[in-house]
Amino acid sequence: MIKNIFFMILLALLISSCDPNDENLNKKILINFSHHVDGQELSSENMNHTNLAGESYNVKTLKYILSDIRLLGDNKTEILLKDIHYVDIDDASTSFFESNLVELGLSTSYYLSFTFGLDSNMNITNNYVNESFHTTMAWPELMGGGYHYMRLEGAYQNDSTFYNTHTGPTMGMDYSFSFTEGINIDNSIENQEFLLSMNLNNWYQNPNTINLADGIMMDMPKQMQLMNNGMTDVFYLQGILDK
Amino acid sequence: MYKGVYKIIICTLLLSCQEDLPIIQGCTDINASNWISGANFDDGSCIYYQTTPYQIITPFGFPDMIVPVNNQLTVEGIELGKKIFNDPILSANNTLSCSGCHIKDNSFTNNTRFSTGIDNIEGSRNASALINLGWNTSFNWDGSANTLEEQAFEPVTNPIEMHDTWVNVENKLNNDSTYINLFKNAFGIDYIDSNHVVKALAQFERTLISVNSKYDKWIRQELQLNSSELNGFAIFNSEKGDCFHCHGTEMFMDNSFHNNGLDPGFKFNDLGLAYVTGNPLDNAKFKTPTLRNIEYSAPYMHDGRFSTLEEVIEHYNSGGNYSNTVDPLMKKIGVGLQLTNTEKQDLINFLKSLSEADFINNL
Repeated sequence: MIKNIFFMILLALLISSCDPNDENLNKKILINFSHHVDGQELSSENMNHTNLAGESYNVKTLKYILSDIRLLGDNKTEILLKDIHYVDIDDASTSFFESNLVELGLSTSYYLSFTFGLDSNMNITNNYVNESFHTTMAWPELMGGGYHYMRLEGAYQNDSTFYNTHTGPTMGMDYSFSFTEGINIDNSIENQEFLLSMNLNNWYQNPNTINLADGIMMDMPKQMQLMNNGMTDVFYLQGILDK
Repeated sequence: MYKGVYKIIICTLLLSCQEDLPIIQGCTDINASNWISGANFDDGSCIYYQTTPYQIITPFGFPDMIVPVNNQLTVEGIELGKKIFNDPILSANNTLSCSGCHIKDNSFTNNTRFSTGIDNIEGSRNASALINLGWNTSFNWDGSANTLEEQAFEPVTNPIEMHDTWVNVENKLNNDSTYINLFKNAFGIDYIDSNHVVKALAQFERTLISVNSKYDKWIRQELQLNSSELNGFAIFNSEKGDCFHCHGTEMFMDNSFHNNGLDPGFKFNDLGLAYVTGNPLDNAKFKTPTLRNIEYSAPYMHDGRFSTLEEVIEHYNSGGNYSNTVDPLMKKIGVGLQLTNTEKQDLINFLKSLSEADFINNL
């Protein structure tokens, strides 16, 4: 009898010694990225899009960096989903990322947060030489150094007039911004999938109406306007796809 | 009875709580010279002969070099690659070596617009400069090769280049006692095959590194650029010159492809990247070359159409030509950068500060 009790205690100890997060081991979150102009699919050829300033345009290049992507719970838990994610619409492998939810604690509500671009602590020249964006997103030292936050390029008005909406740390100023939005995490679902959408037209409106033009990398007021527009309503979490 | 059952349960529980062993890649063969005692996944890197490892020191501002696991650099492999590179044995009539078109004095490119093969047939593209290739993610103007090893296969059998067959090349090399010994020393093989020929060539090419120009010395604060070079540097890295978007970072290239407005219209003589991808949106896009040693590598562009740096700058200064795949970074088509003559000269002077005389003299 005593032996049996001893073995039962041992068994209980062994079971309790297993990782307390075992139940979360297989939980994953998948964030997909999508881009549109007021609901229209991006067009790289025809001038299908029109901004608030009345300019028609297309989109040939869209590359941007998100950093410090976190899931926050109202019980003070935080999960770093990814340090840096680089999106390039020409590279399908960048259109999503997946992260484990091992450390996910129980909260009644959750939030997704990230920094658009790299903040001044991270945005340093040659800080990410081994990342795929190092060569395409580098921001010259003479303009402040580090990396572009975004390169949005295409034609406007006619096929041969181009715009370059490039955001970044002009003269070393930090124009990155934070995004936080509620996210419907369901602890009973193993794999959860979300869509983070960008409406490109909103870079050019609300609160600042911005014309498409070249040469904004050194334009500090315009960088500020783009930052404010970006913070307002460029990004939103769209839907939840339960798996 | 119960004791036995409990023991089994406890063992099962212990095992079930154990984490999966991490996968450690490497050579798992204890007989190999590079056996790794902790490795539990063999990655094919075992070698059974003694070579001398060659270490690439990553230059300032460069990524780690991309070196295939199965072709790590060795002193023996690099020396062998250099010998083959300079030996016409790879061509059908034994008259043309790699160095016949990739001339050392020209930063390992050709000083003529097109190269001529063994049958006196001219190609249609300018020979690419072979410099800092270990940091490239694709090769040839159209990106048709993903690795240096893959790239090295092609010129040997190209009918307008060396016009040989790999069977013939292998026969020639295996009848040469010097090569038999060198391949044995470098790769531990008794029969020389094409795979090891391109491995040796790739090893040598990865050592063609130029990072000691006047510009580099200025970055290291060993000397000062003059005022013209400094002004050129400022133009290069401003939206005025806007060179940096394609030729940025310490590598002075972006590992990407662009149509920089060389030709107007919708029909192109050379489709460039579209030959490889089949995508019309890639028409006339070509790989960005590094600007390091650009002074030595004339003529310029994929087809060598510009003889001088002055002509190149003038192309951008006048804005280039519109076509449906021209890069939006060419913001002022038909208008151009509108640099003054002094600014153009300053830009050229800065580009010449990227030259490293030791690179072409001492290799």
